[in-house]
Amino acid sequence: MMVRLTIDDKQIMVDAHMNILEASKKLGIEIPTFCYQARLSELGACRMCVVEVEGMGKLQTACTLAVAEGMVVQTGNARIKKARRMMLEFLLINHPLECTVCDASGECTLQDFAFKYGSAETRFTGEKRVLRDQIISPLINRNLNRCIQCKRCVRVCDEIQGVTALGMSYRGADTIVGPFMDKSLDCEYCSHCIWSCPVGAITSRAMKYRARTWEMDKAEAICPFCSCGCTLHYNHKDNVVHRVTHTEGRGINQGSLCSKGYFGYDVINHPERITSPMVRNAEGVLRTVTWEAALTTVAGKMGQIKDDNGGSSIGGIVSDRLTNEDLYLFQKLMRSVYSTNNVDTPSGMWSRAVLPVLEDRLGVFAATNSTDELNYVDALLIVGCDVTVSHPITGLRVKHAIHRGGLVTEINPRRTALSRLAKRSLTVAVGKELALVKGMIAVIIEEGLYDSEAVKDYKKLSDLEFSVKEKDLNVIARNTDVSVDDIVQTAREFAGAGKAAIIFGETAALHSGGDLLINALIDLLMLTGKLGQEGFGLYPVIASTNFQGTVDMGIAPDRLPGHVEVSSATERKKFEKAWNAKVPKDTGMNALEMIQAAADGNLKALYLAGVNPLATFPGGKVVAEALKTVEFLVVQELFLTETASMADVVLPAGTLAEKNGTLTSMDRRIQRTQKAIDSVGLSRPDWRIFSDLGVMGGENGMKYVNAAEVLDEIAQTVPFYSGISQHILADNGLQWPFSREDAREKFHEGYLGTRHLLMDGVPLDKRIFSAVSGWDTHGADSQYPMTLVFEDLLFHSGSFTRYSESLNKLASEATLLMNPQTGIGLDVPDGSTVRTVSAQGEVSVAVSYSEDLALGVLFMPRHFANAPASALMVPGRNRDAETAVVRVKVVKV
Amino acid sequence: MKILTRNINRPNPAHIDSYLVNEGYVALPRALNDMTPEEVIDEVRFSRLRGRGGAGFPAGMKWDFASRDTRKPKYIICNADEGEPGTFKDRVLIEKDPHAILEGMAIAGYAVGAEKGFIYIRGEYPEGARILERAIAQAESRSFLGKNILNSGFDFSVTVHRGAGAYICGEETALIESLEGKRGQSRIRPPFPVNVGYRNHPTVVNNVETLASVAPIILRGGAWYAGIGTVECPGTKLYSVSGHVVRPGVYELPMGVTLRELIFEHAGGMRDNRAFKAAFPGGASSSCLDESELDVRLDFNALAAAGSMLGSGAVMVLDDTTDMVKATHVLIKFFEHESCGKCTPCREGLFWIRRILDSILDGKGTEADLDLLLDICDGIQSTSFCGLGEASVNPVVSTIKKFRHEYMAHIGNRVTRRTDVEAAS
Amino acid sequence: MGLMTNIFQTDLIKGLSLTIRYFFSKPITMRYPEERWELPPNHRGAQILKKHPDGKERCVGCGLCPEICPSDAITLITSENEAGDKRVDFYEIDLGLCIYCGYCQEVCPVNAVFLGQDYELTVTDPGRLKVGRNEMLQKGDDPQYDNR
Repeated sequence: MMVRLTIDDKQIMVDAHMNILEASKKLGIEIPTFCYQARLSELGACRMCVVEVEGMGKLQTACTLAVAEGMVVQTGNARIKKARRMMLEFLLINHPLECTVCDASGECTLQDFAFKYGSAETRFTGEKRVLRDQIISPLINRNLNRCIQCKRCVRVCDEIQGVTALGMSYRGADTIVGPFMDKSLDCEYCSHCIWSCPVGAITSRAMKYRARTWEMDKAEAICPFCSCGCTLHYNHKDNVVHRVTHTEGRGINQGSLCSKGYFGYDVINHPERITSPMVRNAEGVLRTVTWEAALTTVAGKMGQIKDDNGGSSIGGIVSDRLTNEDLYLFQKLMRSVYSTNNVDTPSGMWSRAVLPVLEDRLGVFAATNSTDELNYVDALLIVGCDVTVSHPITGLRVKHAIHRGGLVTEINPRRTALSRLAKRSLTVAVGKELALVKGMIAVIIEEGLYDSEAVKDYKKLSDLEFSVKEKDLNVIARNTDVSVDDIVQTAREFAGAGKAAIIFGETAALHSGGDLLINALIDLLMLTGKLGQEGFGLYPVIASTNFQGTVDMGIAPDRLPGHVEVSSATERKKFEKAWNAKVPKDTGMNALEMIQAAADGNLKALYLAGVNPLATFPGGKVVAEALKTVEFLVVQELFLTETASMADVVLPAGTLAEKNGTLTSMDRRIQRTQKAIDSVGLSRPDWRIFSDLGVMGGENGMKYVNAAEVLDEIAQTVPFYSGISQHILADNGLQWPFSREDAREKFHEGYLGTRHLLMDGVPLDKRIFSAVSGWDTHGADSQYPMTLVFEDLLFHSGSFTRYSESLNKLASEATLLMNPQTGIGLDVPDGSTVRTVSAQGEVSVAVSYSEDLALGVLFMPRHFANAPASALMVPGRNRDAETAVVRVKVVKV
Repeated sequence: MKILTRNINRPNPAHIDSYLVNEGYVALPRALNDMTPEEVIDEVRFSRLRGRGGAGFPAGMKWDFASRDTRKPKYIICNADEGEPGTFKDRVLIEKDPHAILEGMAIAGYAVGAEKGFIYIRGEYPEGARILERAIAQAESRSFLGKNILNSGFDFSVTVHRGAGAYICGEETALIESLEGKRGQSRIRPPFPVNVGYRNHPTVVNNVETLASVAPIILRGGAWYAGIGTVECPGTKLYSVSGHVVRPGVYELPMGVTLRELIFEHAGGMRDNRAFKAAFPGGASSSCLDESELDVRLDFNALAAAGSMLGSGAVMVLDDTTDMVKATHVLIKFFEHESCGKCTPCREGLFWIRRILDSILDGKGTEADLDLLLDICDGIQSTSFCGLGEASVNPVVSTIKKFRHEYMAHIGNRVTRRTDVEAAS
Repeated sequence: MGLMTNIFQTDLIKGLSLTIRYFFSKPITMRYPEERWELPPNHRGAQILKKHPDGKERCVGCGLCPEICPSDAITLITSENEAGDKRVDFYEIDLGLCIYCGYCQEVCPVNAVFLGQDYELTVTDPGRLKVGRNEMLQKGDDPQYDNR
């Protein structure tokens, strides 16, 4: 309903739910406020936004008063001005006037309002209240004296982040904001409190006193740490990134960031960055050389190996953190210059496990829906991942849905931060999830809860029914250690919800029978008709920043850009024409095969761009062997990692802050990221290195002036990127697919492309239930009775963040999490070191007991140097690898 | 006329048997069996009973609003957080006649359709809480509370919740927040608790005295009650008289008694035959009355007209030995301490006022400070979030208005001792 | 007329009289460096930094002078010290860039930086034009700046 009201003699029609503050904003009238923030609940505490409403004697707060028909509002008369002046005077009584050193100075709302609405002098003459101050965290600085008690931090922590790490204690003028009992802060370090603080009461210690707000320039970029695709601003001064900020309402994240995004920027200007190219000399020592020399060495050696042994003896593995331009040029370099299809990325293991199932069953190769649709789901199933940790901003969407009353069920081998908020959390051992999903399907069929209209033309419904009814619900419940009631309720909620979606992650997909589980989840979606509309769908989530970009750019041994098959002669011809070079026709080796081939001596040259296989690839011994054996190893890196120090040539690359380009988020949104600072030292953006090598390899088609030119070529060769340019992506991202015309004409209207796939439903030829057989996808192994799950950490993603000092303050070492029940036979005290042994190798790591884990399941982060996952992961056991879980036994030291 | 205090002088007054002797639990079955909820509300409306917590909102109207809200469940909350300095009337009822409160709550529950009641009692009344809990057990054992009360099919249970010692929790929305386990701070109104109260459900919050008046009204009819006291404010009122009088205590008198009558006829006059100087008629947060206003009637309307308020009926009487600046300082210290800290003006403004009064008492004040005080008071009053801030400055404003010379005496640094004040005045 | 002038050499006499007049008047040049100018108190020379009477630096590292400096002559690097307070790690003014506008002095909220009396800034090594914090503090200790 719309109402008409008058504000400062101007008439306006607005929605009846709007408050006066927002209505005034529409008219361009600023009403000052401290405690109001659009995303938070109304508080009405600061009393700064008082206005005069005709017929109401007392001044009213604009933030809490809803508009009404015929209302007449004054926002700036003498009475209001006096009240505002008074309010500022009140606030400044106890606010220390240390703007000269305060980090918020320049962005401080109190400072701005005091200038604009305050009085130049104070009538308060006494001593200011000085509250004891206590450092509450290594990264977040609290200064109680500056606090104006607007409670924004407390509300944001509760209402958006769902953590409630901050609260108010004491009363009246003694009120302080802080953690429970004023102990040290136990939180997710999401930075929301820093962002929301209107003064300098809560600031970042990572940048404390290092730069003033007005000195820094801002560049808009995309966060490099996961595939959420959050927009952030690098704030830099003198070519050093001093902090990261975010803007309310901007980007996918709408002004939220997580600990990695906010605090992880110190990797950019880390003192250990490689700043110049290095080549191993005759004595076997890495020596600094010029770019010219390094590139000549690489081009020469690669050319020689190609001539001697053929292109198939060259392999390249590229990081999934790089931009689309980098990735495109990498595979172009490999294919057109080095004549090889041996191109892969670490997340290729995920692609090969998940995408074939999605393509086979649904005909898609990405998440079906947009992540922001999760905000409004009524029921959500999260299987085998902790989305609040691997994708914190997507996790916020889930929290938002819960806040709205959405029924979230978590099926995971451990309880997570979300468990406390979710409707229910089912702790199920790895491999048992399938039984649970089949149990749900059984309930839905039994109770007739499926969408009969949707399944009308589906084949094999009876097969599905037969497959799920093999076992009684009670047996399933007993086997999975979940109550029958939970299974039935989850099924009913999911089937009955208006909007329902499924998220699944690495634990679900990357274990031996993961494909069966994904198939069962798709069956569940098809059965309940939860596909092809807003708020429905399937979200495969993996942390790798530009995972979708690697898929789209053809970073796979069997796929060309546009996700087309290398084996197709027509597609090859298309690229041969575009590139004016030959594209090899045989499918190449994937990353693990390349490592094996290198170890066997069959692969002569290996090009690793931003990849550290020694730490993260399965089969630690084989990897070390491969890197030692391979004749020519080029590593393009930021840091001299374990792998880089074994290289023949080290090429210094740049972080995302140092280059222009595009990234594709997990929900297919292509977004532009901008260069903030000049390359550190002599380092160069990755695309430029690839381009230079291409030109030196004799391929003039590899010559590009800037990243925009590369994007233009992508726009021509990748059909579903057709029409994009950096110019078009400037305002919003674009979610593929979109028509070229829409992209060009509607971009300035906020056109976002395709919000969700399967608009016309599941393709007709794919309307078949898979009716998977089997109940346990993991099975048992008497020699290695436990299952170790490699977990994502909230504070780290990949080996890259190990270099962030800030994040290392939060977590810097791996520990092995174990249910005390699991550890009974082991008889080791909490915190003592145990040996974790798999078929591949072993690591020694401290054990930490937690009741949150399922029995027989262990958790360990994958990327810390003290316990590299590489040492335990078994290559090529069932399919590519079990890269998320591995069977182990734990031995007392 | 003894309506509220009819039972307090019986032996063992808190026991259900003593209550039953004198028409106890007669009104409840009458309401349940012979009247519809609408009729109960109408009866209370006819009685023109006004809330005794301080604001004087018509109880019948409040119940009517709550009963019209269709959402269930609904709640009845008895506000027994008697925190206003100088107020001790509810304590008498809680300790001497708890069943009158319980009966009133049950009737209120029936009228608005609530099945659950809470008594939010201040933490400093541990004995009162015990008595109430005993009374609830007794009432439940006789089926006056609990499931299917007196076979009428109406369920109503009562839980006693003890506060944690915050004055602000006497404000109904802060009370509800506290009852929900949150920080005791006022909520935004509207929506009012009758629609969005405890756990966001319709909730009636009534004062102890209001609820204790309900059973007699049902028993004898609204018209009878409306005939007592003044036309706008019918009924009897419990006045808690404290300060420099001969017999301080709780007096039940028809509404509209004058201050002079209360002090000199009922409370035995001024202590040591000293002269009356001032009185705060409605507790610490009311404006003071001086001797020229002794004939003001102590009801909601008359006191409002006199620029003060009845509040909870806590009459604090001060004689001529009192230094009004020090008295004000004490009151402001109380409010500064009890300000919940939610809104800026109350939190910072009271801190500032106290600091100015400190300096005036230290002999460091100036005349400009008085204007500053009035300006701050105006700032607090016009912008504070809830009634606490609004009312807390009343003593400052009224004493500056009526006893400016005493402030001037301090400011001139001529007087700090009591005798000097006398000399100056 | 010309003849008379020639005979009596009046021009010469006129010229000589000027010479003689100036010969006996006070000289307006000074014998630098033995003699120095008496500078006005607000002379804008090379910057100095002042301390508090207790020896603590006045400068809090607020960053306003590098911000306002029209020729970007001031470099300031700050960080957090052990006590959690702000510490000035590096402060330098490049006198080769400085235009002696006095904005730094004007903007300083804690009266730490002043333009001093020092005008002899010629150096042989351009690097010497960059004046560091310690040097400026030392200059500030000079008694002539006591009233600032």
